[in-house]
Amino acid sequence: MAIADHERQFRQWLGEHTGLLLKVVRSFAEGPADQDDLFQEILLQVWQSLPGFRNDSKPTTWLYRVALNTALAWKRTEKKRRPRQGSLSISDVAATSVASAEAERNDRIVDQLYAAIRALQPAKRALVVLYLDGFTYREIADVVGISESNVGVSLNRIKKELAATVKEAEE
Amino acid sequence: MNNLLDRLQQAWQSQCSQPIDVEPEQLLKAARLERRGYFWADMTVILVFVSVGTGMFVWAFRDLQKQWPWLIYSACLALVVGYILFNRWRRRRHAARYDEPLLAHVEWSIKDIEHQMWLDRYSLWWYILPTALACMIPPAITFAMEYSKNPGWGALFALLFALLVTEGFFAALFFFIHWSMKSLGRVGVERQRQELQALRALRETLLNAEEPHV
Repeated sequence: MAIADHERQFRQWLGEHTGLLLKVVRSFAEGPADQDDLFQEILLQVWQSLPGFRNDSKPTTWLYRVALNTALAWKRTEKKRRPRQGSLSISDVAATSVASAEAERNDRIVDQLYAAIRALQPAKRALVVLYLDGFTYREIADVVGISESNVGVSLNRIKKELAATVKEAEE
Repeated sequence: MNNLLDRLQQAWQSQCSQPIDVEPEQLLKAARLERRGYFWADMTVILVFVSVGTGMFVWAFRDLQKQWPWLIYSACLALVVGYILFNRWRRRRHAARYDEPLLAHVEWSIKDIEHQMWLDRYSLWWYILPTALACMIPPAITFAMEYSKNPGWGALFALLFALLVTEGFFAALFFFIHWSMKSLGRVGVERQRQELQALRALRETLLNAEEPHV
């Protein structure tokens, strides 16, 4: 891939799929410093892995693989944090909801949901993020590398766990 | 439960974010710095050892009859440095790709850590023993050569005493190095062990096995 194409593709995907990356970041890291660090790590891996993209999967599937692999590795190892680049901050791109009662309620649910997801084991977080984003079992199996039936069984358990945690937080 | 999950899914999918405009140049600064760091670390190791090795080699050939031990030292140096560089090269060549499925990436990470732990566990065989042997063989050969020139009980005892002192010194020195490396490496081993445990737990969860006992 030529450098110009590489850069164009990278910019285009960031424009289209920032939300996807932020969902992974907020599911695996808590607090602004950690979230910024993971966000930067994911962007870096996306940039470095981009020449390997062969158009044999959808960009979202590919991006989820890179983002989740990076998040799982980041979570596992307490690596020395890279110095943060000036322009890369989650607060610059975080959701900007229209101020309304409905939006506020939605934000509260989403915050509870992230807290519940972060309470899950890392592998379960990966599965649940894909499920919540509306991926089919086939697509989840593709990202994770396990069979569809395995995805089904795992998700059934995880959904119960997630629902219980959210219910507990609501009460 | 399904109602709740539907509500959660809807809320999740309604999240929005502003598009981000990242300067790849700026982003890459960190990556380039890291890569340059690796490159110069390797180059420094290569340059230092090639210079030292060449120096030893030249020194040995200035007077091969007297300076032959330097040939053994340089061979040992080449072996140890070659092994270190080969391992670094092999690790980078087989590094996992981040766009692989999660399970494949986890499997690779497990193999990588197991290999690193294996290397650390047997550092005695790969690094310390060859160096120790390179230091201990020349005195033994010198002993044999000197004794063949001046046979006799007096010379034998004197040479044997000198040999024992020399070999004893090297044995103690390399034992101390081995012991120090083991002690210092304990923290690293514990960290690797924990990471390996976390990875195995991750694999088990992905494969939907029984809950892992961590």
